Amino acid sequence: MKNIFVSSGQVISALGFTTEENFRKIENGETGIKHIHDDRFSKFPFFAACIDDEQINSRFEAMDNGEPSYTRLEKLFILSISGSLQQTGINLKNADTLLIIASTKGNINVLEGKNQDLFKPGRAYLSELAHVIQQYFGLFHKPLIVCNACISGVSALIYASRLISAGKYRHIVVTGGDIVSAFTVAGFMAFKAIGSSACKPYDSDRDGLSLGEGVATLIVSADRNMSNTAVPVKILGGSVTNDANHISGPSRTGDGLSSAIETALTESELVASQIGYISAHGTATPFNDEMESLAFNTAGLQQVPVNSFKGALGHTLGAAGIIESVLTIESLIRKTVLPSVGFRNSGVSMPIRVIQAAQKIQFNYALKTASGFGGCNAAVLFSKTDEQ
Amino acid sequence: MNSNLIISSYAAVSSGSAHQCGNAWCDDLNQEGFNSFSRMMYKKLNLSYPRFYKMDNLCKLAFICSELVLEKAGNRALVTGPKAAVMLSNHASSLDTDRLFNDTVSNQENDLPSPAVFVYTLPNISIGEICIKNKIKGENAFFIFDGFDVQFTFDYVSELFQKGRAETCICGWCDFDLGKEDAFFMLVEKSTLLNNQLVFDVDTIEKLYKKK
Repeated sequence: MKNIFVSSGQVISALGFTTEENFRKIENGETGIKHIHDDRFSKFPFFAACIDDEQINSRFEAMDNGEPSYTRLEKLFILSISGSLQQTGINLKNADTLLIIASTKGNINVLEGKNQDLFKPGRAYLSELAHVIQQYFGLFHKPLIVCNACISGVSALIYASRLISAGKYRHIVVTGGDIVSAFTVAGFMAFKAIGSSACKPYDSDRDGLSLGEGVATLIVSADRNMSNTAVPVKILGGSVTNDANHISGPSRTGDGLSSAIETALTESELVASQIGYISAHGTATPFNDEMESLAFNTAGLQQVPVNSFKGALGHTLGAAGIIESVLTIESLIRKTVLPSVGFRNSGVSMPIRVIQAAQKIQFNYALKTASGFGGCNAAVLFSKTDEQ
Repeated sequence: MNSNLIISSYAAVSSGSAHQCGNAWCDDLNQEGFNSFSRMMYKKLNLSYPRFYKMDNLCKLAFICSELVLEKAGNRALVTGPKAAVMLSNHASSLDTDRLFNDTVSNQENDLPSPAVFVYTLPNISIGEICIKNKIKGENAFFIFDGFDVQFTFDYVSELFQKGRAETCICGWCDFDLGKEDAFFMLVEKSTLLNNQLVFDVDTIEKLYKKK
């Protein structure tokens, strides 16, 4: 692939409205997951990392928005994209610039309760959400929408790099977002997938995920000067695979994920021993984390420091791949890998090196993985070089 | 550009009628709706795949269309493994099933929210079902558009082949919304230098798509 540069934009999550705040808090081992008792979401309490509504609204109103009204998720997208583009010189009104949106459920909450009075049911269509964003920013092109379960964010990033490589666009802004809703809470509860405490990825006591919500944005560009990073960070390659095994359970062998990792490594002309850090999926369900331990061993990565961000941020679904990639890029640049919040003792059958406290490491290559319902897996590789 | 990619087969299912490679395959003469239509198609496909009955409308539609194109593949046994890809797109995502599930969330006195319904509240599950049936393990992607985007589909699929990411690809449009099915699938493969093959290019795709 020709040089594909990537730089981090703004993360908005339960831990804060800036990437800096998110990084610092996770570095300190903090979590945004709380025990939520809120019958707007469920008559049963559940664990999730949620963003304060007043904070969203006050920041959004400060941006002088005027009409029309925006959904909660749209406000988050607009805040993150706006914040990410400051000082970059990227102009979304240009023909050489594209926006890609990754989301699993979009504005699904407009189908719920009192939201039905505020927004028409048509707002639940992802293309409607994209249209609202397009109108707000005056985008030249309609946003491209990726809806691929929990790998949406990572796969959106991979498609962005391929489009840049093919010369279709010069700059691509990739944004991913999802919110906690009565819909998703009920769904994951029906699956008995939500754990009995703040989630503990890879831990022997893990018993399920915590939900999360958030938005993050990345900028992918053919132009080194568009990168806001002190040293250039590049996307070297990526791969998406399917387990072809089960629509909701992970593969028992981890072959789909290890295959995605190996293909991504080959495309990037790297070998496993060169990888300095893995930002994994780590949902803290018994099966997912076990599958990942198998896959990382198959791919020869059992010695590589690995974490999951879901113990700090919950499972942010369509946002996860972007939020966690931003934090991966920050880790590369700051030469600091972050703890896997919620982890104490290994509860997976194959050895993996879970990061327990923030560590200073100088490394040049980072791997980000994701897996999702539908049997899909995605892996993307980032590199940091010192050349100008 | 790729002059060596062909459309090995194609299929369209909409408004109670199915076409395969341009020929009428099946018509729902009773017009009783997609439920009975899809069951009729399943039986006519002569499959023994009871998993079909668990699927939601979107997945049944995708599954049927995949079987229609695979039935006319040069060698369907090749459409498998890590170099077989699937790329689908639609407008409504999984909203048809989402609305069903949402009803169970807001009216918990009647049906409790069921994991068997929730699992289908993602459009890429349709890809998962196709992959499971055929052991397809390669690149898979689901995009949302206002309508079938011929240029994007062509560019995306071509790139997969150009970069050696895929050797076969099931691709197209698969929408189910407000009781209506609307699908157009293609099986794209490398040319085998036989005569009368449909070239995989934007003009051809547009022609085939408009004909349905």
